[in-house]
Amino acid sequence: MLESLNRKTEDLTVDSKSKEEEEEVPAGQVVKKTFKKLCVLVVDDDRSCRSLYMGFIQMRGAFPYMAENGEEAVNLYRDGQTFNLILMDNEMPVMDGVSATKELRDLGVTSMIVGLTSHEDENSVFMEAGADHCLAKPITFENIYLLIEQLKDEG
Amino acid sequence: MDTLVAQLQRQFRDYTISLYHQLFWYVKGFLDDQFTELKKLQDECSPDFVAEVVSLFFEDCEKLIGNMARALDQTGNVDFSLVGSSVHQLKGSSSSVGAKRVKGLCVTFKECCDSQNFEGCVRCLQQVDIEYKSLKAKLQDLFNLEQQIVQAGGRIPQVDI
Repeated sequence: MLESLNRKTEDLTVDSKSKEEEEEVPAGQVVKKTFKKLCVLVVDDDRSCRSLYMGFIQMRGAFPYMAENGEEAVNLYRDGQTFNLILMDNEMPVMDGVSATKELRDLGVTSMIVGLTSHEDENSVFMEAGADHCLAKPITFENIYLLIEQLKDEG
Repeated sequence: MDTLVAQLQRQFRDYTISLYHQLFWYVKGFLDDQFTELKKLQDECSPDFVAEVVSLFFEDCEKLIGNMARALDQTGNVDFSLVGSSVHQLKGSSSSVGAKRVKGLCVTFKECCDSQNFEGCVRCLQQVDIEYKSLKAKLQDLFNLEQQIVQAGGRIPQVDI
């Protein structure tokens, strides 16, 4: 059982579900489960990217959740969901990643937010909006591994 | 049976290597290291992971190429930012699955969109269409080889690129 995480994370108290059910979470769906592992929200409009990140996150032993755009991510928090880590793409329909990051910080969200960038000039915009880190796409398993290790170390 | 498995495994190795490496200096490989990242996620619990992810990628390719074609078809009234947005999406997803040639074409395509070069965009669209279909066929051949090896009682060999 992981210890509760401090400053970059929020307490999670939810009901349990089987691993198989957990793996089939559609984008934006609110799922409640017992907190045993880190919960990672992937915000990206690209399905193959979401599937890839989901695989990396599960391989590292964390639970992946999905949102197709920034607005869905913000709505998850407004509905009471919380996550240890948010991987936020930038260019998405409805609401982009920088706008979503700003809105989440304005809501008081303290989860670690990592901006996923396609070019370097997105980095400063993401950081100004309140992201903790930026990663250049394509994301690798090692990127996810190091982020999750950092969260565990901070916990 | 062992000879068949060994033959299939050799074929699989050679074919995999050919997908990554340049045959000639002017011909880029179809795949890059990101595809290797994808392969790391495939195991006994998720034996079809790579096929599933690339299947999503190819579905999205078709959709995005359709969007670009429709946008470019508005003769005299092309919305290059709309085309560019689809190109950006395609570049992102091709980069994530390791589709090296498609990604490379998207870079050129984006430049044509940014400079509102209609002929350049049309050429790039045609090339992207050819390349993604070519990659789709090659990966299908690779997955078929994998199936043949497993059906013959062998294991998929680890290929160091």
